[in-house]
This record gives sequence, C-alpha cells and structure tokens, in this order.
Amino acid sequence: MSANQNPTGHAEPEEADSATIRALIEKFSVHNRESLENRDAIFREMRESCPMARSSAHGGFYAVSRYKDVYAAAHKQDVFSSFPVTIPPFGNPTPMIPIEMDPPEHRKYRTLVGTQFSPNTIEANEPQLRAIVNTLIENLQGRPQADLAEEVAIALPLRAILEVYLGVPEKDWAMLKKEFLYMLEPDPEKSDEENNERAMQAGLNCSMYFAELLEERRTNGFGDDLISHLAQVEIDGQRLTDDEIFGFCLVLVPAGFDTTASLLSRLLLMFTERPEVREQLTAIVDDPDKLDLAVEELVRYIPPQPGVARNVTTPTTFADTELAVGDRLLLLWPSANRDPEEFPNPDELILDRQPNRHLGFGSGIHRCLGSHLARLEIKILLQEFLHRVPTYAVAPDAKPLWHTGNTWGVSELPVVFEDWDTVGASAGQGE
Amino acid sequence: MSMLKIAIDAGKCEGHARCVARASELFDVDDEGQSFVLANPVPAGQEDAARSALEACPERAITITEV
Ligand code: HEM
Ligand code: SF4
Repeated sequence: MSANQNPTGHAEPEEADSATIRALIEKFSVHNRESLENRDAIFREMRESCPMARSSAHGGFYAVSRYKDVYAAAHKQDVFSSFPVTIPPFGNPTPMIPIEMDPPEHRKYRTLVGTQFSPNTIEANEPQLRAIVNTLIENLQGRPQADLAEEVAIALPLRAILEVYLGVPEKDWAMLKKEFLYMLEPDPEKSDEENNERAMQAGLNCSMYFAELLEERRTNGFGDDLISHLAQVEIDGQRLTDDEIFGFCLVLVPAGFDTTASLLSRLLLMFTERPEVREQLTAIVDDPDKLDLAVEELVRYIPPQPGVARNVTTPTTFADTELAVGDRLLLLWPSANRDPEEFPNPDELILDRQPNRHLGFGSGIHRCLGSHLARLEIKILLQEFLHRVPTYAVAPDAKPLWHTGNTWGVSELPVVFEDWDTVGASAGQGE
Repeated sequence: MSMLKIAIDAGKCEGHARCVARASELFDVDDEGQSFVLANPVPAGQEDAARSALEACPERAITITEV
C-alpha cells in the first residue's frame, strides 16, 4: 500500500504485519470493519499468496481476488449462479430482478429496461441531473460547514433514481433512504439474525410503498416513469406480476444510490486527504475526453462495491480449486482493480490511465445496468462542484464515518469550507 | 497505405459502451446493449480513436486488424 494513503480517514498506524493480515483474511467479510480498514493489505496478501482465500465468515466462502479469476468467474454463469448475490444472503425466497437471475430468464428481464438505461436515454436526462446538482450546490453556498456525504454524495444519486426514474414525491425520499440503508448496510455490531429481521421488515415496507405508488398510477394514469413502464411491459406475452414490479424497484433504488453515493463520498473525503487529486481533476474537468478517462480511473480506484457472490451449481475446478455444489465465491472487484498483472502501478491514481479495463462496474451478463447513469452523475458533479465549491477540511471537532456493508463508503463527512469568495471569479484556476 | 478494420465479437460484448465513449464516430450501442461498428475500415484520422476504444473495452470484444 502506498504510504501516503490514508483510506479510513483516521490517522493510520503502520501497516499490520502479515500474520495479522492472514488472520483477518480468515474472517474476511464485507460487513466487518477490520476488513474495510485493512482492505489494501488484505487484498494484496490474497492476490499474492491465496488467490482463492477461505473465509469462515457467514458459514464460509472463497474470496476471489485476482483480476483474471474475478473476470473469469463473472463469465461462468453456466456453473455459478447469482442467487443469492450477497454473503450472507438477504433471505428473499425468489431471486431479485435482474441481479440474482441466471440465464435464460436474466436477459428477458434485463432487456425490459435496456432503453431506459442506455447511453442515449441517459444523455437525454442530462439537464434534469444537472438541475439536481445545481440545487445541491446552491444549498451549500455561503455556509461555513456541511455534511458532504449526506448533502451531496447521497443526495445526488438518491434523487436521480427516485425523482428522475421513479417519480417518487420529495416527501418520501428520506423515509425510503432510511429503509434501504437497513437492507444495504447492516449494523456490524448486531447478529446476522437481527440484521436479517430488520432488513426483511424494511424490504416489506418498501414493497408496500411501491405497491401504493403502482396503485396510484393505475388509477390516475401511467406516466413516463419506470414503474409505469414496468406495469405495461410483457415477457413472452405476459405482463409482469406486481411482485416482480416491486422486486425490480427494490433492486434499482439501492443499486442506484448506495453505490454511487459511496464512490462520491470517498472521493469528496479524498479531496481533504490528498488535495492534489482535486487539483488534478480541476485541471482536466472541462475537457470531456480527459474527464471520460478520469471517471473510469475513479471507478477503478474506488470501486464502492467490495464484492458480490456466486454460487456453485455444478461441481467444477476453478482457479486450481475443486468446488462442490453449494460452495460460494465472493468476487472482489476492488482487489481485481488493483492487480498488478492487469494494471501497471495499480495503487496509483492515474487520471489518463489507458488501457483501463477495470471491473468496478462488474463484467459479463450482470454488467452494471446503471453504469452510464452513474458515469454521468459523477461527471456532472465534478464539472459543477470543482469550480463552484471552495476547498474544505474535515471539521476539527468531527470525523468522517465509514460504513461497511454491500458497499463501502462514507456516510457522514462533516466539513468546514474555506472562503466562498475564492470561487466563482477564479473558477478553474485551481488552488 | 494499410487500413484498419474493426471487428466486434457479439458473444463477448456486454454493452459497457466504453468504445462509444472513446470513439463515437466509430461505434454505437443499441438498446439491447450490443455495440456495432459505424465505419469500416477506419477512416483516416480515426486510427488513434479506434485503438483507444480497443484498450477501453472491458470484455475484450474488439479486435482491429490491418488490411
Ligand atoms: C458508481 C456507481 C456504481 C457501481 C460501482 C456499480 C457497480 C455494479 C456492479 C459491480 C454490478 C455487478 C453485480 C454482479 O455482477 O452481480 C452492478 C450491477 C447492477 N447495477 Fe450497478 N453500480 C453503480 C451504479 C448503479 C446505478 C446508478 C444503477 C441504477 C440506477 C445501478 C443498477 C445496477 C443493476 C440493476 C445491476 C444488476 C444488473 C444485472 O444483474 O443484470 N448501478 N453494479
Ligand atoms: S466497450 Fe466492448 S463490451 Fe462495451 S459496448 Fe463496446 S464492444 Fe461492447
């Protein structure tokens, strides 16, 4: 790990020794705070000496850490099922749509929303997304301090999916966010059972909410929102069931906001720890071609989703390991993205990196449906934020709060701004 | 002078659209997430863009041959 890095935002002592790292690997979990805090050392040790590391957490699984293995596993849907896609599972009896579906059903459901998330449609939503970003920045203007996680990193993607895609009224955003976070970021202090129970209840509450929304649209007429669309589409001549419609929404909302929020919150924190990153980004933000490469590099460097599960359905040998039916793999995207076999100087953030075949958005048939939306959100935020928001530091009496879970990110980022008078006129000049 | 010809392996392409981002004159993706080539062989001046697309494709679905 490069010594200048301070990924947790705390003053970090020297790196844990390799026996400690080995012990951490044996109980690796995306829900474990020590896994998060020592991730770079853990992933490096895994790649170098145990590419199919065995963790005993949540009933045991293999942690897949090398780029080529993660890539290969993501393309073996014939022997690895995506259901369930998390370790531990959420406990839903039927696969979540589309993320837990396998071929041939997967493609049928995924094509239903292909147009809604295609690069062209996303481009058409640009003005609406930019308007959201502008509101968020105006809300910060002139203030001495703010919570950039809550007010920017989480707010932007949450509004993008709820407002732009689902047409959810503003009064319900906060409630939905809270319920979804119960599902996505279980409290590491609580047992799997307790967390599961709370997550199930939250899932039920959200389903009920979407049921009402659907009913309302059926009564008052469909609009151009995604729920209306899902209520009218057909697979093999059949309408979706209501449960399938809620199921789709239950995936799209958290997949749409929690991932992007975690990436953005970590980036906004990084600006305080490594001011040169902000300067480098400011220097290229107005060049669309360079910004395109930079956003890819950010997704490579800070992929918010630590890993997804695959479940062995046919006995097979994979990465020199005999796998039996029921064995589980966790595909570690962040580790793959730092594999020196694929990326020269993997621990360096190189904004014009090329080639850059990172796996931050996954790979294969489950390639992130929202990747084009996420890219555009990140781009627009950078374009507006870097010129219009002054530099800032973590508030002296506070510290950033990291969360574990199915994404790794920062849920509280209290900052104090430098002088607001320095931005605007001098936009683009850097610090 | 030799020319470059682009081929996309449809079985590998998963619609990341990185090819479009790097070379919008040469690639597009349909709503099913399949990319297709807009101009073949590569018009003069677009050679670097074509190579950039190849290097960006996470599925390694693009090949470029000299003809
Ligand atoms: C920076 C932001 C994001 C990152 C890093 C990210 C990452 C990922 C990854 C790694 C996968 C693959 C999961 C697997 O292989 O099982 C995935 C799938 C998915 N993502 Fe994203 N995602 C992001 C934003 C979004 C957004 C904004 C949306 C929607 C609005 C979204 C919706 C989905 C859906 C629906 C899937 C499942 C696709 C399928 O199974 O076919 N994601 N995402
Ligand atoms: S970048 Fe590769 S996988 Fe993505 S659309 Fe282009 S050819 Fe297909």
